[in-house]
Amino acid sequence: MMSEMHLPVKPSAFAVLAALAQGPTAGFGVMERVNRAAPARPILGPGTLYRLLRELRRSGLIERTGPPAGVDPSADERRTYHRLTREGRSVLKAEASRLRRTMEAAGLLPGGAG
Amino acid sequence: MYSRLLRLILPASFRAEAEAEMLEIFRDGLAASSALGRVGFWAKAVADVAVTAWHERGSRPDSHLDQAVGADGVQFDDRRSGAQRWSALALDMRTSLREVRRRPGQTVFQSVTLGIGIAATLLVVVLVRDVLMKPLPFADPDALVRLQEQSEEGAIFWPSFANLADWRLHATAVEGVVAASVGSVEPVLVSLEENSPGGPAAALIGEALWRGALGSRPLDDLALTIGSQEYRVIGVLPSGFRFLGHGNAWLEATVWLPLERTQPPGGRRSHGYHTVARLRPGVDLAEAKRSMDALAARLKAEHGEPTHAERVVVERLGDAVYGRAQTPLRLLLVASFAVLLVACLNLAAALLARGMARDRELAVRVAIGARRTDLVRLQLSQALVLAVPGAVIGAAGAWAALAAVRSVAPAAVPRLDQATLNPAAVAIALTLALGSALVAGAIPALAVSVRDVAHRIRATGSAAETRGRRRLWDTFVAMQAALTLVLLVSSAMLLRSLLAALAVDVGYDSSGVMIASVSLPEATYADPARRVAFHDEVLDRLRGAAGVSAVGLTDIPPDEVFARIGGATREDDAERTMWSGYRVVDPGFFEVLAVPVHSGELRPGVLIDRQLADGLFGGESPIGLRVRSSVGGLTMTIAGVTGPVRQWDQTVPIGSIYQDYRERPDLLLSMHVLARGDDRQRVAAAVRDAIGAVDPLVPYAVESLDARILSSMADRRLMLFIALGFAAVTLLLAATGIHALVAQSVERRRRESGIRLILGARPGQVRRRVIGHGLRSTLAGIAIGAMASVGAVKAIRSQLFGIDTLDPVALPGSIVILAAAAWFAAWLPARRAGHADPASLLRGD
Repeated sequence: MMSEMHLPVKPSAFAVLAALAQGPTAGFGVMERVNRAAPARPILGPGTLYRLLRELRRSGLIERTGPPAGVDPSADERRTYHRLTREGRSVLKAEASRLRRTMEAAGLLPGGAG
Repeated sequence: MYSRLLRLILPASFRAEAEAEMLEIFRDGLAASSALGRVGFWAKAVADVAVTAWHERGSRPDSHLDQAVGADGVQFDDRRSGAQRWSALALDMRTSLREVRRRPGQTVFQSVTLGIGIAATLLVVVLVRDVLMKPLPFADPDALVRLQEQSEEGAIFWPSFANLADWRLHATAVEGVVAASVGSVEPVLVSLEENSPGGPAAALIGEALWRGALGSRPLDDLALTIGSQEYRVIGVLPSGFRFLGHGNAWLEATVWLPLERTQPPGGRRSHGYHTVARLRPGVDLAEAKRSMDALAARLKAEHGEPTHAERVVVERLGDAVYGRAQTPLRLLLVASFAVLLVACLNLAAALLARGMARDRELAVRVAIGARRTDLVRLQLSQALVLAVPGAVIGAAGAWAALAAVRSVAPAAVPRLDQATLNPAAVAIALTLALGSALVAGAIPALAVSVRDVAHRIRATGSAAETRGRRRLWDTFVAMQAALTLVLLVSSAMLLRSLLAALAVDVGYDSSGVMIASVSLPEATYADPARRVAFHDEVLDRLRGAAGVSAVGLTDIPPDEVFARIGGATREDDAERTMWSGYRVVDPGFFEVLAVPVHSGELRPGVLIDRQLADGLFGGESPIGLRVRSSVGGLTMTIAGVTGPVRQWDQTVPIGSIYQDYRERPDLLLSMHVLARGDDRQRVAAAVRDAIGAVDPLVPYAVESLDARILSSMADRRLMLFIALGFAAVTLLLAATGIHALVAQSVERRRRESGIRLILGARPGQVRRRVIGHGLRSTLAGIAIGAMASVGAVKAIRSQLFGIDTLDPVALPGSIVILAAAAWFAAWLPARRAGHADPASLLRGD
């Protein structure tokens, strides 16, 4: 229910949420994941990325976390790791299904309105 | 540099979180880019940071605001209607106008600053538009081409009459070949219907002549007498109809006469016709060139006469008319934008200073709910209030500058006399002013962060100094200094090259020499003996005239080395040949121009100059040997050797052959009388008297030889004139910028200076501290400017003469001038810091 409030999600924010859905990572990792999805035209610069991370954190869709297991925290203490909150995960799902419905309505996906 | 950028424009809280990782990402990305890709990468990175800064600084600083105005922050609706937005803008404009009334002096000063930048840019924009971009006033001007002959060696000639007549008959790539004689005061057209040998005597006249001297009388009533021939006027050409004239200038002629009727065709090697043709539809330049080359080869094989037309040079008429002005004007355009940029920086600094002085007011605005956009709009409205007077001052300045430019170089740049400030130009001025005001206003507006201001409301007045904005101001001053230095160095180089051109040893002394071009009417001077008698009598009278110390006669002026040149060959060795001019002169020619005659006399035989003697005969004495000249058409015995006569911009050695005028009465219809004296006016009057006394019906024109030579350097002088003007106003702007920086710093440090004085510092020490601060950024600018100057000199190399690399005088000299101006600008306000009464300084707060 609450997740509906956040819809629709900006494409860049959606991309960040999707990247974090693969597991917690630092800002650098997020950028790589996002830009790998669109290799021809990187859509996120570092400034935009950190601003988005901040906005998403303020809206409670993501949160800070420690480094994942296997990373020596002392070696990399400058990095801030983020992960999806429960709210964030449901917003991501809600937006994905909203997009799917839109596509179906436009007849772009099989099993839609046609 | 990237981290400095982050520090400069991103808020501290954001940096604390993201700076380290952003740097890492940036470094990785940069390392992965190719050399070329780096430029794009940088551009993207800067844009990314700028967008982030905009959002981060603009987002309302809730926590700070809460602290500033208490927990019950004022609530307001974020969304405003269009009408509200407009009324807010109107309110801002009113506020800004009130500001103008409160500080008229500052407003005038800032408008003038902006106006100077606008004037410089507008001047060059108008020149570029009217000289380079306006199409020639003919139908389909792009299809018009100029045709010239090119010899085996690559030398380019005006076509001979016989060749251009053949081209007209046989060319397939071009049509409508027209020509006008090169040197004549009244160009003559080929393609009139009346145009055939022995055809009716008909003339076209220019509109100016018809409406002026001829009083717009009906053409049937008009008959012109030129020479001894009466011409029927068959048409009036509209004013603005121009054609290539003397020295490739783009001239309006008063009278047009049929060429074939009036001029003897001459041989294929007597050149002298500006030739223009139209490309046939569908034919491009390269194709026309190929076709004309083939035609030239065929014609040469057919007629078997000696000709220089091995190939044909085909170029667009537009390029021929104003092509030479292209590079100088482009360079000046860049320079004018530099002036405008300096003016913008100056204005931006002034607005920044005003913003700094109004921190408290801005803070209050933020406290009661102003957002970033509101502050930006307020700053911009202040800049816009300056734009209108700036545009007016700019247009007026450009108008005055255009008048000055025209007076310096009337014929130097083709179509310069047609450049005008019309309504379109005023619109350009207004656009430039608005654009500059927006840029100048936006920089300080963006630098004022809502967050900073919110901080400031709790701080006490003078301590509330933002280091970021001081740094920004220092950067402005440094950039101004750098740009100023580049302009100073460039104009110094241009000045040096003009001096170098003037210092070239041309081999004769032109000072105090007046030159009169005399053309004898062919009808009354058909008898060669009469021609000789006319000149003899004029020279005799002049020799006796008061104030005239030397007199001479020549058919080709000394400053026109290229006017008639051809091959000079040893009679006994046809392999030894060299470019040489050929003049008919009297013995006084050498005396009046102080050209040394090393040996021999003019009569009998000819004199040759040292260059030709060395070129053809090496070390041996040429006296008594014979030389053949393709232009004189004779083989002549050499009687002596003279010093060389050169043209200042001549790059290849060209010899000279001098023959006594009495041996060539066929050439004496158009001559130049030279007379030297201390008083130009008296000499000119004596020349007029002498010619008038011998034959009052002979037309002539008198001018000083120096003026002729100077006018051949007119395009260089014009560029120098504008560049020096730009450098001077930029220096002035930069100095006022430094002055304002130091003045503000003095004001800000009043308390500190007062304490220093009380603690026993000498006024001089306090002054030096303040000046030192002001000069630091100037010195940084000088360092950057010095490096940029190297590139600038490379860019203007084509316009230089005699020097082609950064010379050891121009750069240090310019640095000294700039540093001295900067020191003086800093010293003026710094005096106050040292002189002030410490007690009053302290009380001030």
